[in-house]
Amino acid sequence: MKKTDFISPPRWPLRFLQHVLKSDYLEELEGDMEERFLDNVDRYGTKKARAHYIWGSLKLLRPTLMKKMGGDVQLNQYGMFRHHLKISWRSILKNKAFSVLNILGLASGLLCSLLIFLWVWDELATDRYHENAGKLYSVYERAFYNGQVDGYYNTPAHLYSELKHKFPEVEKASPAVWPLVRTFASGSKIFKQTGNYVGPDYFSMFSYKFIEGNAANAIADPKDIAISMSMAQSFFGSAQNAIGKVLTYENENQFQVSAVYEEVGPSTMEDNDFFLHWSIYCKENSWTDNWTNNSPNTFIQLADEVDAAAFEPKIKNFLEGYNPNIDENFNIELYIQPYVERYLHSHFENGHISGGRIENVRIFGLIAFFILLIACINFMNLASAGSLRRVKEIGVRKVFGAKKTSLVYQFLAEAVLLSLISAILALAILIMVLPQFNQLAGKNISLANLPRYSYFWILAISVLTGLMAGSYPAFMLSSFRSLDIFRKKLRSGFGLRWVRQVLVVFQFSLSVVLICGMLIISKQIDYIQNKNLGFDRTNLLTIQLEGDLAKQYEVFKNRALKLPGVVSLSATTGSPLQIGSSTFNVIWQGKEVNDRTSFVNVPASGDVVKTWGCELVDGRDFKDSRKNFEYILNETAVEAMGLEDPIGKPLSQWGMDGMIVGVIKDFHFETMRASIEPLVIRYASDYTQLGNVLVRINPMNVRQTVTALESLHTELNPAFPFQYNFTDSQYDQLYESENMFFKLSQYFSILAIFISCLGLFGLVLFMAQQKVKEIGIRKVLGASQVGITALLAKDFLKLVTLAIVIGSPVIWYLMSEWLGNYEYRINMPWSAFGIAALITAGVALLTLSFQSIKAANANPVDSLRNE
Amino acid sequence: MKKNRLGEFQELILMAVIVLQEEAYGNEIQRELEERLDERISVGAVQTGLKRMEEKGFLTSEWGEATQRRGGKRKRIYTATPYAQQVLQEMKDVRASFWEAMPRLGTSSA
Repeated sequence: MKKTDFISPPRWPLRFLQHVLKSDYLEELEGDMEERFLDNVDRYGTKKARAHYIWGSLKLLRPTLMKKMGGDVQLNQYGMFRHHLKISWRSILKNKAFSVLNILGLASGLLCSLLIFLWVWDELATDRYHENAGKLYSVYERAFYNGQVDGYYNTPAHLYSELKHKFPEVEKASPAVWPLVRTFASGSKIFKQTGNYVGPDYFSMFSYKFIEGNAANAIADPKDIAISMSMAQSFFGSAQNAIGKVLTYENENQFQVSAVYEEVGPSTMEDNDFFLHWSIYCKENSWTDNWTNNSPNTFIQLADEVDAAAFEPKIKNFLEGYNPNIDENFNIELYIQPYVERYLHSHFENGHISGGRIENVRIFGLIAFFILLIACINFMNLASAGSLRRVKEIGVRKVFGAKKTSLVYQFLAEAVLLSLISAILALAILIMVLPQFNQLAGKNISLANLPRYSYFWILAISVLTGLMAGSYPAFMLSSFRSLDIFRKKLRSGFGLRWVRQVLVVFQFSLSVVLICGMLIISKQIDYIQNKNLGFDRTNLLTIQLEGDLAKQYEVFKNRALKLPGVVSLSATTGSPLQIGSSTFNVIWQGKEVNDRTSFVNVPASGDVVKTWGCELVDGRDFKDSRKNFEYILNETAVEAMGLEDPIGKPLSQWGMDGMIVGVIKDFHFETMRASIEPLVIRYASDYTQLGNVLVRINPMNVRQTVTALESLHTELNPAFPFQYNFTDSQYDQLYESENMFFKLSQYFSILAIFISCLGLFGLVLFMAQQKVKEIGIRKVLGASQVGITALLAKDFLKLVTLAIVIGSPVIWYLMSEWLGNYEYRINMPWSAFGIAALITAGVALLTLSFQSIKAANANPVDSLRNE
Repeated sequence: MKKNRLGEFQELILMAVIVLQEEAYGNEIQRELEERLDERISVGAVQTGLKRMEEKGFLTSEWGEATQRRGGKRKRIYTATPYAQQVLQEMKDVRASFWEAMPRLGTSSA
């Protein structure tokens, strides 16, 4: 015998290959390999033959010889997967009512969270598109006085250039004002446009898309003006036509269009239609030369590799030596905030930045999460309830040897299929409602603008929702013992009944929270809108006092007063809601040297109290054509000064010595979030500096009066378009975010209730089917319809009551926090809790009775004859 | 012969199968090829070619005897189908027509 008889090839490669190679080929291949091995042993010796054998085995790994897609096992899984899909589809079709409830519930949940996702994404994306976003900072101030700290973005007008020149770390810097309305003319076209004044660095700091011109030459010269695409279109038809053209500004100066831009994305800077050189602004506003005045924003761009945290302390005390007011009783410190954070974090509390829009983002994110959670719970409830019908199917599958994992896969596949259908439905509805949503939320979100990866997220969210929602029924159902299933042990204490009950309670608690929150928010908004502000905000018009109108104010006033609908006029800086500037440079009799009380101040001409519609407590209103300085105070100011009998007492603001002629009752000139501050109204006759004229008109024939005012305006001031504002609409704008918040929360709570009711409906449907025999027997024995309805409703009403008990303290806590933001607010309305409870219970009862009555009315013969 | 074109290596295997007749099983084909081509060929390469051609209908196969040397595993004997013979003939003709059309190699390159 040859020695080869004792030698065998290594066994492990074949053992591995057995799993990988097509089983039909296995015998032949094994034989060939072995024969070849023995040949090789004869030829090269055992060692080399073994190496050849192993190498040869590896070379067998070719697609033609291998099992498809890794082997028969997975082939089978693919088959099972198709089977799952088929069975899922059949069970969806079989229980149409259940499936529709399930899909609707999940789709509305997904829709709502998708909308919020889009909104949040848009909020977070604001300002991030700037190329230098990471290096841009907004300078803000902290003012220390009278033991108080105030924070604000207002800075001295020349701070930007001083910072740039004194600190090598500051590469670029630019100021910017809060957008202003200005009148432009070209030929016969006259329009008012909102725009801004910035430094020459501005366009190299912030990214704009230039259609004509470029960042370097946009406002290089004070004679240049950069305009937006829409402004170019309204004046010149196109960007190409606009470039190099001349625009007349405020009927005085002329500027040459040097660039036409488009805004790239959502921005803190809002929509500016034009940008002019900073020197223009400084020329118009002489106060800008004074370092004690703080108004414009200052933005800086730090050089590469400058550590912002290390740089910030260097500018902290920069204003010392610039602002002469700084002493031991008063100080202003400078700080910087990353520019991208400013949009979401712009509120100040005690001089520190604390929140802002980010709070809304967080709240809505939370709402989205909870609504999705409600929808998932709903899905779990319905699926686990509905799957009792499939208990026999599971039993049969188990008897035939289905493993637990395969059952889990089956139910997960079914859940994911349902959630994908819901996702498609949700996306379809999303596309339809997006325009309305944009209008409501004041956004310009388009699905086309979303980055690619967000579609992946939408898909991921829906699949994840399906997995989450399907997990409970999948694991619960698959863990039944088949013996129990067939012995009908499950009928009585099916599954984990308490889990379903907990889920229902949770769902309804959330609904109570949302409804109650909605009611309380609406009450507070109602309170704000109808509260007597202390001045009459209806029928009060603001007209810009500019051009020739300012020069001929006396003529305008006299002629306007002759119009039938006009009650009174007063030239001032704006409506009472726009009063904002404050100063501590007010001197009165008996003022302490170190007193740094800050007074809100506003200049106004004659008849201001009458025009505002405030109540005069003492003294008199201003009268026109006076030479002396006169002051009117509000009650808080009188109190702050500690004056006993203010009328006739001397007062001096900014060195203008005059006397107090009147005292008015306190009124709200700021939002309800703030308390009323001391106010000083100064008599002013320099009409050209005031900017606006307020007109109190008669509530009758408002339209005629406005038209008459317009023709008067056109006659006296032809170079400027007539534009007016009603104060009550301005007032509504102050609460825009509240209104939006309210409307959105309204929709979301309706959605939440809808989803919860779908769940409840499904559960009752299920229970009625469960108890169909019991109901039949009870009816045969003479039970009334009411009795049967009560039987079904009783359990669920207990759960809803529990939900109300749990939800109420939660919403009480949340709402007292929210109301705490308002200095003027409603008391916690206990009725809201009652109403929310009633609505929840009522809707639940309605849903319950719909099914219960149907069950109670059914003919017992139908339900009993099959036994 | 558009559809079921034979690869070069497959053509060689096919010819080996025809030459070997009743002895045409994996290892024997491999030995034949190694001898004629004077290079080492793996079992996988030969088997892949055989299976591909069987799928395409060039070959049929049936179980043969099992031997001790094969560890008791049966051989699989391959036979060329008439179709395969026809395709081989076509390929030879095509080649022949090319050879005829080609200018004489030796003189042109010299």
